[in-house]
Amino acid sequence: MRMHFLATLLVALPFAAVAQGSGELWEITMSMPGMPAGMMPAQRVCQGDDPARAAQQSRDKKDCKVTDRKQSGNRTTVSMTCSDGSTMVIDQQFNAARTEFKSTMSLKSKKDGDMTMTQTGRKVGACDAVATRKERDAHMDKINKDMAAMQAAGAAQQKEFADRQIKQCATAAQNMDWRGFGVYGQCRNNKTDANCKSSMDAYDKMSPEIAKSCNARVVEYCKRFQTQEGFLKARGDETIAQACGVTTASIKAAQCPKAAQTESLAFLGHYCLAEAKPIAQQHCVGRDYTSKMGGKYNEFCGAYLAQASLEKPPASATDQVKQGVSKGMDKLKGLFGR
Amino acid sequence: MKIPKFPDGLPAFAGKTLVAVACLFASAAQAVEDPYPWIAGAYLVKRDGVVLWAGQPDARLAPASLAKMMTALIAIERGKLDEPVTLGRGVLQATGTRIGLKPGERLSAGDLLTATVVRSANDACRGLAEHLGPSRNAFIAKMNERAAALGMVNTRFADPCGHDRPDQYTSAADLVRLAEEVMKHGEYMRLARLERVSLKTLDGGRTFALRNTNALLGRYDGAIGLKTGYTEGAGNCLVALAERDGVRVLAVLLNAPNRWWNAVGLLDRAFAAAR
Repeated sequence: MRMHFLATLLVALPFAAVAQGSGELWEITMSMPGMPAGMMPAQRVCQGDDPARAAQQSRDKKDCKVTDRKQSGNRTTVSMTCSDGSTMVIDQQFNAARTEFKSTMSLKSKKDGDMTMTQTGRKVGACDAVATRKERDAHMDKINKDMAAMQAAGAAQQKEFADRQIKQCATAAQNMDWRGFGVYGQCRNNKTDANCKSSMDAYDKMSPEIAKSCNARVVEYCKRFQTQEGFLKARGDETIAQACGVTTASIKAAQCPKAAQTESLAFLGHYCLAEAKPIAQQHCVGRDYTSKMGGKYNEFCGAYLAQASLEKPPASATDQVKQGVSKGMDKLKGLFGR
Repeated sequence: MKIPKFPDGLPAFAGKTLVAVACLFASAAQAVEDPYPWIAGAYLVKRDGVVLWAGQPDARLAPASLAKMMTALIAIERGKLDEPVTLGRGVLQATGTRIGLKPGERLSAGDLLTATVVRSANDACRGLAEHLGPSRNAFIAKMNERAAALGMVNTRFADPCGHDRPDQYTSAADLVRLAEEVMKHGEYMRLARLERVSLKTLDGGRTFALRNTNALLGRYDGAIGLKTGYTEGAGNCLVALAERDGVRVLAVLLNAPNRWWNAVGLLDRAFAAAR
């Protein structure tokens, strides 16, 4: 859109009313705040048309209207309002001989933001305004068509991206893959955070459907996370629990008695040491990590023994470990000559 | 907390926003807890470079074969792994785990390294150390020099392969430093995750079929190494590394009677712990 304004400005200025056919050739240099000098090379424009009309015609195909025009000596000010709500004010000042001018163009647009451009121009000769205008109109048509094509391609790309993200969130919920939610998972409890917000805004700009769909999938995920099956698939991740507004402890407290009743071995082995203990005493005793047991209790025993190995052992067993460590240390100390 | 991108990535116009989001959640330092003081003489667990839990991390304990990580590091940093090595009589003096190398046999330095890392073979380790040393003592000096350079202040090596020695010790924290150094080398990582490998003498006369001593490989989802160790003086030792969904957990256990179960429990809990 900004490129469109640049094109508008070039054809709209300078405001020099000249006879049809006999045009004035102007060399115009534009600059914008923050743009390095020389980035936009001087351009030659054959001006022989009414500038306000030219500007109005060129911008979004007669989409803007001149709302005010003031002329005082060599100074002209034109205000325009466009259908998208943006406004444009062009303020132009010629020298006495009307061979040079300076102008500013201020654009206010909710969609594109505010922008101010300055121009300087000098008359460098005469030209055929009619031929130039035809050429210019053809050029503008091409620019408009190119712009329309670019916008259509951009919109298609955004839609494709949005569709892909929506599908990805659906897959994330289906596979209990929290990472698949991207910012909608990670920022679930940080929505007011500036970076989370800007990230989500970026998606919203592409399509509000992404947020709507992904947030719904996250809710679906969190509901399933609180079931034994979902909790197991998510490997009892505490960060996810927090994002879902619960704790793993509360889920275990709710699910372990149910798991014990139904003998849900996988859940019991991983998360319910107390409830699993009687089953483990019956089926896991003497099992080594490298044992090939297989069967119904294989996963249960593996999970139970790993978790149980971190529990504080009975006093006598603790002493044995400590004694073992102490014995090793004594041996080393002995070797040091102590 | 990291903010991941959607795996498919964003179009370029949204990239800057996501970079900003990712920068927001730099991981914060956490106080180190010791929730499992009874499991080992010393232990330390790190997730993505952040220490989660540690017990006696600076205690000086015997390293057992975890010392071979240093031997491997020196070999890899030196390079020239294609060099042929003619084994000396020293290989016969190696005790503990061996693959049965004989004096006069020729293997590449790389194959000796493989047997050292994968099978924790003391004869291969000794052959490698004597090749790199060039004497055993000279090699031990190199080990200690490298340890000092890594800031392993509670470490002193006295045997290239980790046999119990009176003046040899290390700490869980130092072994984490060493592990993180070897992890920078693709060759070590390639070897550490090999469940099985077959080696040949350079003349092709003998083949050695080796199985990795790390029981987690192939059994624990995401396990990728790194080294096992056991001696009477050191007890069961382990440096375990696992990766899931781009998250890496490193656990070092020294003198842990139930090292495999402990490692699985610690890795599980580290992956699940709040970020």
